[in-house]
Amino acid sequence: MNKQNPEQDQPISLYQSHAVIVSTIIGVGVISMQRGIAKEVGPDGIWTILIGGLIVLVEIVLITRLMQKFPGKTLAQFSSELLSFGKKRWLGKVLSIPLLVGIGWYWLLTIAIVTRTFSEVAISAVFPQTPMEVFMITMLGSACFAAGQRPELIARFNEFLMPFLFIPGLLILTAWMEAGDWENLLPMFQVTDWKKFLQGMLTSAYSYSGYSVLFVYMAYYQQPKKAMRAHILATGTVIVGYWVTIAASISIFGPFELANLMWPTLDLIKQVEVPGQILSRLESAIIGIWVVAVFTTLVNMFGVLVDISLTTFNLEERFRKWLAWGSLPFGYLVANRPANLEQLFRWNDLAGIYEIVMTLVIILILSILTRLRADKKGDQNASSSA
Amino acid sequence: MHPLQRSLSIILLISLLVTGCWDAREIEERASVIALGVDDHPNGIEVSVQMPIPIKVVSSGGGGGGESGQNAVQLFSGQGKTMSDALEDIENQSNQRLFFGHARVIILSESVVRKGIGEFLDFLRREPEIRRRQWPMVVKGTAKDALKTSPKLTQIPMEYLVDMVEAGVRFGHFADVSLGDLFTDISNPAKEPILNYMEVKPYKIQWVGLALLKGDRLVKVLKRKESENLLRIRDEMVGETWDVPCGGDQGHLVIFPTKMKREIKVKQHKDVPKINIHLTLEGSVSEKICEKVELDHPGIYSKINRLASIFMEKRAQQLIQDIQKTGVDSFSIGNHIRAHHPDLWKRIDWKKVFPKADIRVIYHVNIRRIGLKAK
Repeated sequence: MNKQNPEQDQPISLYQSHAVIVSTIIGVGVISMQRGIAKEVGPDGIWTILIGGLIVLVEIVLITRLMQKFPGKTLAQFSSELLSFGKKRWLGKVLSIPLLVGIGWYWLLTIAIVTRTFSEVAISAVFPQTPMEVFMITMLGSACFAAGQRPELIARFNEFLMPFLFIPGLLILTAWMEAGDWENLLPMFQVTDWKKFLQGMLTSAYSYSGYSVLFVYMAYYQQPKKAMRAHILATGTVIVGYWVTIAASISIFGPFELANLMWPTLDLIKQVEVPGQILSRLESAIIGIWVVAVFTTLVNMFGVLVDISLTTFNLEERFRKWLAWGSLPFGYLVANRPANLEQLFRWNDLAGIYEIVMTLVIILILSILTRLRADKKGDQNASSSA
Repeated sequence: MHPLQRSLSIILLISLLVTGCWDAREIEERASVIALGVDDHPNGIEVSVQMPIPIKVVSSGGGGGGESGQNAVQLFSGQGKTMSDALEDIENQSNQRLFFGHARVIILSESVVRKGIGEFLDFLRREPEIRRRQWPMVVKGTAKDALKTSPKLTQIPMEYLVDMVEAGVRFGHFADVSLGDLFTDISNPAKEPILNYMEVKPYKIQWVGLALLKGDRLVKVLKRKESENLLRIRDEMVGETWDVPCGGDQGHLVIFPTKMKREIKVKQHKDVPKINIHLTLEGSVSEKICEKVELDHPGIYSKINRLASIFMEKRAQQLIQDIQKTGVDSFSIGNHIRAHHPDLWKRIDWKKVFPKADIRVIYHVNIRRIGLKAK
């Protein structure tokens, strides 16, 4: 396990790519997203979550298209290629650094936010006496172990853990059937305030954050040409999962109560009653499963952060582990920054919009450059053939 | 493995295993609260908790032994300005810290609910150990007295109360209001909460009706016979049996409802809407003490249907008038308007319109069967 042999690693399969997207996006957001959405748009959350998902789907399609043109290359590699002019390779390296730092900063920030949010939930819901540092360091530490592996291995790890994510989904459906009230979902589509609706749409879109990890993982795909369908399917899976979560929450609690709940999904699970009183307090079990969801998000984010640093500086494979452990303190420090929950939620929203914008900027710059290069090449070809 | 890595992984493994130690509380280290009671007190509020005595509570499979009633539990009371304050007062009396994970009942005294319960509901909302699925109820007199009752049917007194409420809800007689429902109803501007209303008797507690709340304050108490119509209109529950005078004759027929469907129709008349509530009930005759009515006469079913409907409509209409006087929409008609007629909801201020609204209840009773006796 310690001695990596890159040739032995199987490249990421289509199903694994599906797993990577699903388990990266489903993370801490799923436990609290309903509150913000209900506050802004009330019962219309069942629409904004779909629209927010579509926004993200468009971004994923754009990333996939771009990456398909550079099979086997990560963002660090092909951006520096695109940005170097003539023989000046160093120029490309230098020019690509703002892009890489921009997106890398997002990854680091998300690692911090995910770790912190997880600890906050665990403390406020089940472990009130446990110090927060313990959660954060354990979470980050174990994520580092996994993140020190090659992306192919991380993808396999995702493939193995993804099925666990469906267990809470089943419980949420049960709760919906048991306690749902259709009147709470009505009135449907009553947009009175378009500004708020737009805000609700954005809040919904933030809850899907994390898709930018494709900038790295797609470089290790076995069949990048066929990835589009798998990506759309994966995003679809997440959208359906989120829709069920939010529709069940609104239906059970109503839009007014939902705005009062700190961690609505936790209360949603608490609502489930298992007959026979075998498990009367399901939330501890669910937090256990939810650790998996959070952990895969963390590992994938950490993995890309490490991989992008590695490929940027052209380091040898053996440095991968040290990079992972080296970035742990930074993650920990940033995670400690938000003073309270209010700030943490603001950071979360800011990170969400930052990812959408940063990804778009990267896609735009690189797509235009690709087009220009292609034209130039076409010209050269034309002139050479003439 | 690299030695540094090995040591790191050992540290990590240990830290993974010890996570949660700070919160590890074995079952014998917990003082489990079964029921919470809240009363008025000159100093603020008085909170009483019922806790089972572990050594005296023996599982039924254990074969005899164990004590029941008040001998199996101990009552603790604490006073304070706030809920947390009062509970800390209790913790200063008990041997362990309180654990609310097993609490099933929250008993509120009538006088507390008249003053408003919002303040200490806040504590219940924040505390993660409190489950949303437990039964809040209002009790005539003090909650402490309710916790002191010693029914003999179950080992732990409050288990009896839980069983009673659960059975009542299952048969459609009691209001199905859990703590979570109470929170939800208070949050919803279109809804007003209701709670089950109990009375303490020696060795038992009796359900005597419903408490109607406006926000978090009690405004009216309904008696048993009034409650059934409210439950039918509000929650589509079947309700109790009812006696119908046999037209012109002495005596009564008893209708036992088994199935229930509610339909609310709203007609908009300028500003004051006209609301028709159709209640379609299926049922059977469970008792007949009239001499002249023979249940094997042709056409007798439709006659009974009409009699039963008219009788019940009158009673329901009376209830609606009474409740309209209080100005609190306990029927949740407001929520129906909010959900199904959003335009109307935005145009009118329902809280002001409700007392003036023209609300009709129309019963459609369908007698299906008459039991084992043919006549």
